[in-house]
Amino acid sequence: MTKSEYMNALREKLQHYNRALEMEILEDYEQHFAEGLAEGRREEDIIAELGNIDDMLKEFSEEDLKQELEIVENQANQSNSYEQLYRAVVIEGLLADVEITASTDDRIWIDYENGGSKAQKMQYQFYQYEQDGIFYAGVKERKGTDRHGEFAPESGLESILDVLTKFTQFSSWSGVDIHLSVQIPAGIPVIKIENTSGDLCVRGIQTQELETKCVSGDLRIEDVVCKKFLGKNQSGDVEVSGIVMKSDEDTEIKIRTTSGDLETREISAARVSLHTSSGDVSAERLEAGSLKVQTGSGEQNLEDIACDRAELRAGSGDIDAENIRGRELSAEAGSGEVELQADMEVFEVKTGSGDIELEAGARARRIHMVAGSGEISLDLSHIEGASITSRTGSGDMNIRGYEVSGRNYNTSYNSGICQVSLITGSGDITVE
Amino acid sequence: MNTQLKKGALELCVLSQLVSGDKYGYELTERISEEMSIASGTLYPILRRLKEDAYVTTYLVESESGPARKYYQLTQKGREYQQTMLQEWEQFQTAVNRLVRR
Repeated sequence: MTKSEYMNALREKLQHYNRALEMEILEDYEQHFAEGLAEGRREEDIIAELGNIDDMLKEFSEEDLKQELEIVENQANQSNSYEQLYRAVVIEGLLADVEITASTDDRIWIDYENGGSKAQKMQYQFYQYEQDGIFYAGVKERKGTDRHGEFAPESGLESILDVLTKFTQFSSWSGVDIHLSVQIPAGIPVIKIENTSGDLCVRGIQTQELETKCVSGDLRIEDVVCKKFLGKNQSGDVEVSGIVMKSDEDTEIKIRTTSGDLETREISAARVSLHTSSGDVSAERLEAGSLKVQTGSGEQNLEDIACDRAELRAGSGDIDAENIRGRELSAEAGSGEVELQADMEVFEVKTGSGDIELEAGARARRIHMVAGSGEISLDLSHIEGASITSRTGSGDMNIRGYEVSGRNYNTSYNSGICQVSLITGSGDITVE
Repeated sequence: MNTQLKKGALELCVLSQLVSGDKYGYELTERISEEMSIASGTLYPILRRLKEDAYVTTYLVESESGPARKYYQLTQKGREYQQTMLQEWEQFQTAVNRLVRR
């Protein structure tokens, strides 16, 4: 018999016992095998030593058997059993590509594949354990194989070997072939996943709180049901689609990247915050109570957004927003341009040296625009009535769709239902 | 051997092995199977029961050989229980010895 045959038989027989017991005994046996194998013993010797499974099970009492009640409950609501057993699942992928999907039953399933070079197989290993109601699993570096630390070779030959090992370890990074796939049942309150260089893909899971952290790997999230999602990436890109949360509850989506790009599609929550330093942000079909988008040198591309309040901040990148509906929109760019096509009640738009182009919808009540040296183009053809203040330092101003005449550097109109105040430093004002 | 007797004896052995210091599962089962021929597997349910009865607690330590090692540690209650069991065992042993030799 092989280890896997023995473990399968054990798993099969443990099914009749309560789940905590089942998990613990499986772990004990896994640990026993790991220790035995590490000592160089053969699988069949370890099996012989562990002995007959039925004899072992005799040590348990009737009470340990799965209660009838529990089985009925499980059938009614499969999410219950694990919700009670684990309050969180923590996955750490390190350099592995990690895939998190929904479990089709109420168990956690894990598949670990290390298809890398022999050195890599030796260097990395899978681990799993549970502590204080938290289930941990992931990939870690074996101790003693890390040669990046202390460097004190005894002979010249060893030093060469050391350098060679470092080199091969380093070059093997490009050919990393470690995959960790985890299936998580619905109802576990918290799921946290951390990854370093591997990619991370989370698909179709249901939880309360999802937290992801990636360093250089990409992050992809699809169709997740939760109340809070926090995503942090450094250089990897982020692609999120289909996180739908109720906006009348305390729900939140918060995603930050350093240099990676951030792309979202069909997400909604009471609070949505998208933040990148040098990466671009693009959002499509987003719904939020409050939306905050912040970019440094990256650009913002937003399309089909519904939100009560939107706050867009860009450093040197541009802001381009199309079809934004809601109440209040505040957009600020440093040297970037701002182009808005939005149906909001209140607009606050500011740029340093960038231009402003605004097409406001019928809902507009108050528009306030300030450009430092940039030009301002304003399309008011849809506006029914609003108070408008538009100010630029040295840029020109172009107003379309509003019936006024004249050409002035400092003009204030009060005509009909609109109140318009246009001020430029040295630029022209054109009203079409 | 009578199963109840064996059960009690094994419990005493396990607890006594922990008096000198914490041990992880494999270490403990190896030590015991050095002295007596039992299936190592049967020790795990015993360890689990001792934990449930709060005679031992467990903690995890990362290991080079695979999954984290689960260490077992005697609680105060466990120490007292071990003392009581040891006394009972010695009395029992003396009685048995006296009876079987004549």
